[in-house]
Amino acid sequence: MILPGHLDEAKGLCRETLASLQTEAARKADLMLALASLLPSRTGGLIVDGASPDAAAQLSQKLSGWTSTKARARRLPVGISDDGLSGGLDLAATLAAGRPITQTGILSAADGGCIVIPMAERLPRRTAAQISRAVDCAGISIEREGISLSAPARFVLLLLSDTADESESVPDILATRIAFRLQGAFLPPLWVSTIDDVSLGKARQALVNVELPERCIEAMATACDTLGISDLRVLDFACASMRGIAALAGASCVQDEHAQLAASLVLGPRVMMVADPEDREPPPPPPEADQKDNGGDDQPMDDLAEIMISAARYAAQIDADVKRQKNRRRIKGEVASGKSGDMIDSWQRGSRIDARAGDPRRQGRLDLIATLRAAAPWQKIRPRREGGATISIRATDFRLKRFRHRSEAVVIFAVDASGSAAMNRLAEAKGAIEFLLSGCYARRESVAVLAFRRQSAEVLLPPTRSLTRVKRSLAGLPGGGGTPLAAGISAAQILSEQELRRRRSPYIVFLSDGQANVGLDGASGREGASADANRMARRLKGAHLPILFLDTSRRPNADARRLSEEMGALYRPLPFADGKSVSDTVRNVLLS
Amino acid sequence: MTLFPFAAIVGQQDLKDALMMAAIEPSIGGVLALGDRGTGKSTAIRALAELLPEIDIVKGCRFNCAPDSSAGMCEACSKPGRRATRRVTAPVVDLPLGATEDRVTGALDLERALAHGEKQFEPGLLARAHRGFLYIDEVNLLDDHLVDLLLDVAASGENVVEREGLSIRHPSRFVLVGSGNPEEGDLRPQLLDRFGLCVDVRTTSEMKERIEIVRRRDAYERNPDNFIEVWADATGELREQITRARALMGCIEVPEAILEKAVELCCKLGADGLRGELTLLRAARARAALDGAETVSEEMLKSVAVSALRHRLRKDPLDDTDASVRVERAMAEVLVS
Repeated sequence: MILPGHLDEAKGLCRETLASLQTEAARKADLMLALASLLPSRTGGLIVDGASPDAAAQLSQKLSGWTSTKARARRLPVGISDDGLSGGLDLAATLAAGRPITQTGILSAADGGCIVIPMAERLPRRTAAQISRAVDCAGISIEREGISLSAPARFVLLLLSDTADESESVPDILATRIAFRLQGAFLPPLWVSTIDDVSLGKARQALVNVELPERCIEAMATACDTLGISDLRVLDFACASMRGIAALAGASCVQDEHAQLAASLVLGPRVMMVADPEDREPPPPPPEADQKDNGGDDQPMDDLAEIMISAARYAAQIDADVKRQKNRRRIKGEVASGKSGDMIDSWQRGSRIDARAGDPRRQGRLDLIATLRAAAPWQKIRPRREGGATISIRATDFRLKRFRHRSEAVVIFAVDASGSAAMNRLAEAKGAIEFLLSGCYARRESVAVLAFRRQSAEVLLPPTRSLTRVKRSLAGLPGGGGTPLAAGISAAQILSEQELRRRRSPYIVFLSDGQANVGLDGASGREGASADANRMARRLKGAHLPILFLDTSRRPNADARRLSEEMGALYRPLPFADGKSVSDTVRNVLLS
Repeated sequence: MTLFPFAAIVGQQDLKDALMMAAIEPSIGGVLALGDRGTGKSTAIRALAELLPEIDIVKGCRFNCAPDSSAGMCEACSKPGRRATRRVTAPVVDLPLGATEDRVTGALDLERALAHGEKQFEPGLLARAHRGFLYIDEVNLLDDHLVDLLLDVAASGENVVEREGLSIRHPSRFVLVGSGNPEEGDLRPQLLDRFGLCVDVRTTSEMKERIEIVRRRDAYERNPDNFIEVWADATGELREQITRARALMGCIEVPEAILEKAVELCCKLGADGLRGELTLLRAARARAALDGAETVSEEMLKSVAVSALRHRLRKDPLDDTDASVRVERAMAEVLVS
């Protein structure tokens, strides 16, 4: 626990042994679990990243023990259906009973207890939104399949995630409603809690009567402001935690040390800039007017805010250290930002989403359960033929499965075939493309190639999956002439918009040195050409496509970098990358 | 479940005003609240129920029909004869994510069909929201077909159900309120345009305000009932204000000069269609009613222009300027007086 006296110790922790890291993590975990179970409606719960399976089991066991004596922790699988989440029609029971029987979903079944979500970074946004609403309203309401009901759903969430980098994380919509975040990489597989049931029970009783002095709220607000944390929920989490910590410590009023601990627990994981805490300016003194309003309180408030800020920064530094150590243990390629193929609804393939009425003879696959469900209400009023089937199903009852799948990817290579590039590294560029392509067919991606040189850009190869054709068109790629970069960018955008209309997801890879010397109108001149190129780049950015800009010049140059920034592309200098790493980069852009 | 009182919400004046104006003048066409997380969008909208004046409905009517036919009537209520009425709180219906079409439009009553073999219509959310508000949280996550259906009904004021052998139509006039975070997915332009007012909700950076927000939140969490009690008077006053403004709505005048300015402003901004002008004027009148004035002033036009127009501008890929700034710029040019 990072108590005031231990700040120096905490600072030195980064360099300490595994054992002390483990104790520290366990203490922090205990405190967060206790606070979450004390203040379920105000803290939401906790997100633990990178905990081992044993540690995760410990966490959920402790949390469920502390939250409720009766209810056990419920696990919420990431791929849960709407029925399972909030409840729905229980088909078997409904048919047996002859009246609609509802099944309870996890959210309302967990009322008063806790919910554990493993692999929370995979949680679909839609599911996350539904859980968030239950958190906001302390209950669920469903309006589906002829059922309309509301039920209370107050629970503590334990989200277990295992994220390698920033690109995957628990959906924001849910993460912003959860107060505590814990780096779980160093959680020991087994530990004895420093907090026992008796003191927790006492704290629960005392909680409402704990005083929260104004100056603590004010100092926390100042600390949030200085650390650049603008979300008001965080401030609320921190204020609630202060009260919780004081209650756990058996105090009747929140004291500075409690406030400080709350800051390190709640603000710490949200501090972004941890590299240079010393370099940063101290928090600006509050304006004169404030000081007058606060009367004699202003001096200690300022101090308290500063103590909170440094506590939060130390906590952040420890978190960053843990993350670094964890990542050292796994070697992972660089995952680029960029979106994956868009989702498309279909009757044929992909993952199941729902069922719609339709004719199975014409399209799609029959969803038997949904069909039965549609037919069920009618059974009593439909005339039954003598000796006929017990269930009467008509054409209008047919329900077809709908699926959702990723749209097919098209990689558009826009190759600078002008003199400046051709002389330099065009050959390597070709090598990189071929290397990349060898894997493309298996992944059902198409490839298009367009080249720009002299006055204009032309599509050398319309989207295809034929590796042979690609190789031939690249081998014959003529080099030389001016660099009509603007025309190239524009052609890439036109081609990708065509592909979008065909419901495919385009990805653009530019191979160029970014040195334009032919303008859109075909006139040569460096200045006009580069202005045109920048303008086209900005327009391309508006299309929000994933773009990779490979700088083919001998040395990475500022022009190319600036241009790639203008178009919102990921920039990579080719000299530092062989064919393999380029293809890896493209691969990661596509599949991340 | 208790709700955080509307009157106790600190700041967010734009959103609060927009919601109150929509309550005064339903023909404005609803409110869309877009913005940062944790800014109290949902809190404000859900708390609105407390502010709405009560409505009279025909006793036993499942479609919230009014005793007079001004808002349209369901089949049963439109038959001649006087009917007893009862007073209820105006509905604020919260559309849950994952709602299915049958519950939104209404469908066959499963229980009756299964148990008694009867064909009976079970009204859906659209019936429940009649003469009140329909709230969609995370509007950008709602399935497209449901959004289309809602927009269609919101525009026509009538819900037509033709399914499972049922053929029902009933009035459904409601104020559509949506909220969402634009970072989590764009809204379709057609959808944007259907909302009358669009409010950009930002986290306040004013330290005093932030502290006050947390202080009130803390007080509410410690003792909700007591907190609501403390704010009951303020809530009552707001409710009064809405009632007064509604009564005033009929006699508010829009001077010719203001009308011209409104049209000029829309032309200047290139807002598509006539919806912009109409909403702008309706909102300005509601603003006047809210302020207790009988004529619309330029100041009132100004105060509603951003939220009435910012979501109707054509997107220019080469211009990253925020839509609100563009509206304000145009206003500065047109409204120099």
